Amino acid sequence: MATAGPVTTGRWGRAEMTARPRVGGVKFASCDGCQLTILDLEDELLALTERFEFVEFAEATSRRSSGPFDVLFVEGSISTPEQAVEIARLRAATKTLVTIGACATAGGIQALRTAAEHEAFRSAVYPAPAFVDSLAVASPVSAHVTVDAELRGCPIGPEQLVEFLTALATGRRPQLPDQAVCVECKRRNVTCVVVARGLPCLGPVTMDGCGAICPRFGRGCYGCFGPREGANVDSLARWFAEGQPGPTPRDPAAVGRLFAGFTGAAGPFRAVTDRLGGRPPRTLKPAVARPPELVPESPPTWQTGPTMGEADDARD
Amino acid sequence: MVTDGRFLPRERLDDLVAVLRTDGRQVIGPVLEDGAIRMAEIESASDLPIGWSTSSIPGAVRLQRGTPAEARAERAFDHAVSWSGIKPWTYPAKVEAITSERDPDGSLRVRVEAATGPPLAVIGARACDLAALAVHDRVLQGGPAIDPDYAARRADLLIVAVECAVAASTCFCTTMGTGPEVTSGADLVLDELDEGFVVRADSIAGEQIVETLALAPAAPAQVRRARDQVAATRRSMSKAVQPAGPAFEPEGLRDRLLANLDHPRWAEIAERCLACANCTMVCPTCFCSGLQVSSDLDGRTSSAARQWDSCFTAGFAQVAGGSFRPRHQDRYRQWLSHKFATWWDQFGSSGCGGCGRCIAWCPVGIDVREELSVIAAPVAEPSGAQPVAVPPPPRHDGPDRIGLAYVTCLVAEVRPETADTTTLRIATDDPLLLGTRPGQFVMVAVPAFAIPPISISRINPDSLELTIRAAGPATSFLTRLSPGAELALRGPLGRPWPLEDAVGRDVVIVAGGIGLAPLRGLIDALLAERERYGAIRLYVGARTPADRLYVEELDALAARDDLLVRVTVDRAGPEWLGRVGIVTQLFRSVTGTGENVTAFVCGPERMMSAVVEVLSDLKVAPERLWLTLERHMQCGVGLCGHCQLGSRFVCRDGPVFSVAELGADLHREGL
Amino acid sequence: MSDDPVAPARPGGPADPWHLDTTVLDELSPTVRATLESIARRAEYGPGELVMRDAAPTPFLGILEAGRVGLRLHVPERGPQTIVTIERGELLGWSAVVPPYRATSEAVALEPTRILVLDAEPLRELMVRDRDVAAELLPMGLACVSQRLVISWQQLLDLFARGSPQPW
Repeated sequence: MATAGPVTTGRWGRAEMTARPRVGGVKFASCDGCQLTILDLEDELLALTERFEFVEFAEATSRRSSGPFDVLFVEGSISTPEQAVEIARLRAATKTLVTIGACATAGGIQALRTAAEHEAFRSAVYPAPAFVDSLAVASPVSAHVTVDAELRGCPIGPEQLVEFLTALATGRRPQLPDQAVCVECKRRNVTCVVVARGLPCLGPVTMDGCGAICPRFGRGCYGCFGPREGANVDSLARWFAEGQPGPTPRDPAAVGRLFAGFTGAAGPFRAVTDRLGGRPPRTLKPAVARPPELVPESPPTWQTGPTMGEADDARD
Repeated sequence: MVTDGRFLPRERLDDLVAVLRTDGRQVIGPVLEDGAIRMAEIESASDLPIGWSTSSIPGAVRLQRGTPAEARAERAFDHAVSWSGIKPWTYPAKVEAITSERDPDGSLRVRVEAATGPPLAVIGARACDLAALAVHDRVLQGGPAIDPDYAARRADLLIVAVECAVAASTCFCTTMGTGPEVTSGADLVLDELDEGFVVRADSIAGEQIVETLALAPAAPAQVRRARDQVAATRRSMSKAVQPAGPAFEPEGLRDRLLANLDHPRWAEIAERCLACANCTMVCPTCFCSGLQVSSDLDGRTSSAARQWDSCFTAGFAQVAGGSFRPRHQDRYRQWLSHKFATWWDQFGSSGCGGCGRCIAWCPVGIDVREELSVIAAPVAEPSGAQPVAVPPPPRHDGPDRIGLAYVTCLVAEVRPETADTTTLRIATDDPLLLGTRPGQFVMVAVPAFAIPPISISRINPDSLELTIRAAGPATSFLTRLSPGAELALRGPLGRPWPLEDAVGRDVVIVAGGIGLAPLRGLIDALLAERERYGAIRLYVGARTPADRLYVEELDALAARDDLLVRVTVDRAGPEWLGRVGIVTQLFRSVTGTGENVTAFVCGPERMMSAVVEVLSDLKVAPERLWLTLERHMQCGVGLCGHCQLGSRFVCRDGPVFSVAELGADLHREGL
Repeated sequence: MSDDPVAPARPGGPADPWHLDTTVLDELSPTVRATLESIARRAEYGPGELVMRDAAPTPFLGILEAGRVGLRLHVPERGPQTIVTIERGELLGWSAVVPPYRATSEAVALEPTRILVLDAEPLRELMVRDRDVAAELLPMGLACVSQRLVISWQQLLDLFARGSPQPW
């Protein structure tokens, strides 16, 4: 892990920080939910702000910075041409770049359009698609720049965020799980919904880190943390389709749909849906008739407004 | 001691729970929750799953009301096993194990923690649960190291067992010889009849409960019905009743399983197995654990929690070079072969109690009975029966007891060796630590970091030396310590180099990379009594000239005329005029015989394999060819399970092994 | 070959019965050895002196009698890298008898070195004429190539390098 901030080596040899590391949080195509998770850390927030300097974090402060960042948390997938340029610029200004959430790490729910006809969706969803300058695919940040660490989930787990920042502050390796959600279910004495109730659950192939929140509330995991190491998705999909005692066999597309959620664009999950089907249709009919007066003559101002770079370090 | 045949009327079951609950005792029993039966804290008999039973098949467990017989509608224990068992209370999923604190002045305290909660009583434990508890007793408090938390929870555990009146289709206690009759391990044993319970006490504590409850003797007919009932349960699990059910032959299973470590079925299972770890989590004997470190933002106070881990996770067998079990088939094989085979070598029993939880709670219904019957099928004709060359168990010449305490020590001197490797001299007056023998290691704790095992590279009268390569954050941190810093050591641990095996013989020492560190103390010891040994030859390999350790010391050794030192590097620039090539090349000019040689080898495992080949060709006996292995270790004392290699705990039985002891396991992939 | 090793010997010394001073020549039959010695000459090189040039026609097949030779490859920006060293008794220049008869690396003397030299062209002619020589020399050359291959493989694995995943 890159050491954040200027360091001195004391008797303890610890990389002791003489300045607070500059931390930023930015978002691309996403809902802000992961950033809000940071604000939800009410017990730890004060200590964290003493230790880290949050220089760019639109959900919490109106001060802006274009960098440089010691640590930058990136939320959201890359969905427009401007975002593809901006993420490259941010990468160059950042020591440790951390993607947070399903959108930034796997493309998010908007990555469903990757398998659909972009133009058809645009015109179906937006009354004035000319306003919308979007890429045909919504891709994870790692498809554009090197990512140093991932915090997964939709939204991310607050415990993971605290662990990550604590590890950064102390110089140790963040202890992020590499095992299935099942391990956490059993550690928490949560009854397995697959075995006890015949529910489909992606827990066995999904990276833990959520504390098994869905099974704890009696529903199956929908894989928002994305595939775990060596996820044997084929076996699980086969079991849901054919083997699982209960109301089986299930329709293959219904099984495929289980894998087509928030992290459905992640390789192993996408492979299941590619094979079994279950994605939304490739084209949609326009839902709203397009009023001709809304077609712009020039781009709206919010597309040409100041970027973060131009508002560098503006204090409130 | 045994009190036989008292009768507890059904309506007085709550009295029994109340008696158990006296003195603040926490009572655990089966409850119906989230659509299944699991163990949980209960306050009265009404919390029990009265009138419920379960049906279970591989991958599916369902509740049933009022079955199998209407007459048994009011029974509390007709559900066969609870899914959680009692492991979550005797060996909880997560407990604080090691806490450390560093004061602003740098002084350090590292404490090993143990449970302090209220005493526990369990009602509704089954014969298989008790068999599993007996297994845990051997594993966790059978020595040489004792898990203090388990011992504290186990010390005052009161157990009310129930003999099963029904068996699930996933149950196979009769095959494993653990049930359904409760023969030992309980304080009270209940047999549930329609009208109440036949009770027998099997301990002094149990007798006291019977006395407190003032139970009348059971009628002979009741005792007979109770006996018939459990006998019927036994019959229901027999091959005669379930001819189609999966079955395996337990007799000789260990040998057959170990003979089939390369069976094609392992790869086939891996296509179904999710490596989700559910089987290990619900298994009442699985004990592998990991340390989860947490700390404050300053890294001054931290706690390492011992939490359930599993041989199915990616990080379980991870070391600096990668994972020893990268494939699912490696992990499944580790689990099954440990449970049913190598457990015998380690703890003198099978690791399976036949409860069937791993079958019922596998999300894709993998049935160990079926897999065992395929992989370890009884051999029909003697022609195919290859007697297994199972390596002899390692010699347990270590101490009877290994302490878990961490001793705070002072860094006295820091000596950089290479760009990424540093030797720390650690001052201590701890007699145990100063009694370290060459080849042993210590666990090194500082707040906020994982606790790595570090081999001891020199033993001085008042200090130990640790040579540490900065391979990760914890080891990097250790290499950056300055004189005066405090750290805490657990040890000395592991089996030392068998110096006595070299007396009167020629000695060959082969070191690769950081592997020279654990050999340095050995060289010191050999030279301290030089006259006891024949010719001593030291062969050292390093990556580049700049990666050589102890350069001046090696030069001084090379200048002696009673010792041969040959050094080679993997690659070098033009300024290096010494040897370039791999370590085994240093033996190219050897024409003598190794019959009188005792060899000590340490380095990357691939290098050691190559050296073993060369030295074996030179007729060095496998019993006198000693290696030290590296495996993932979290406790260093044989409790966490991470470092297993076949039947061995590398930390406790090794890390030093002879080639004869390792046998084919030395080269086996994914073990 | 030392004829009368004395015990106890200094380890690694001239009379050490463990490291005996044999050469590849000792593996040859007396007839073939005599034939080869009849066309052999001796060459001496000082430290740093070039023995063979990379990619040039291999001048000879040699057997080191004393000293040490480094086989080097030039890596742009890293300079010359010594891949392996050859010592007393070992073969140098196997490519003298293997087409296309070009050296696969540079050979440089690292110490004062004496080599028993079998010049390439006369040797190849001799091997065509005398099948006994060819039959004994070629396996020796192949063994040398095989050793170099194994060394390269192990170096390729970079066994002493730090791995990427680091639990501690």
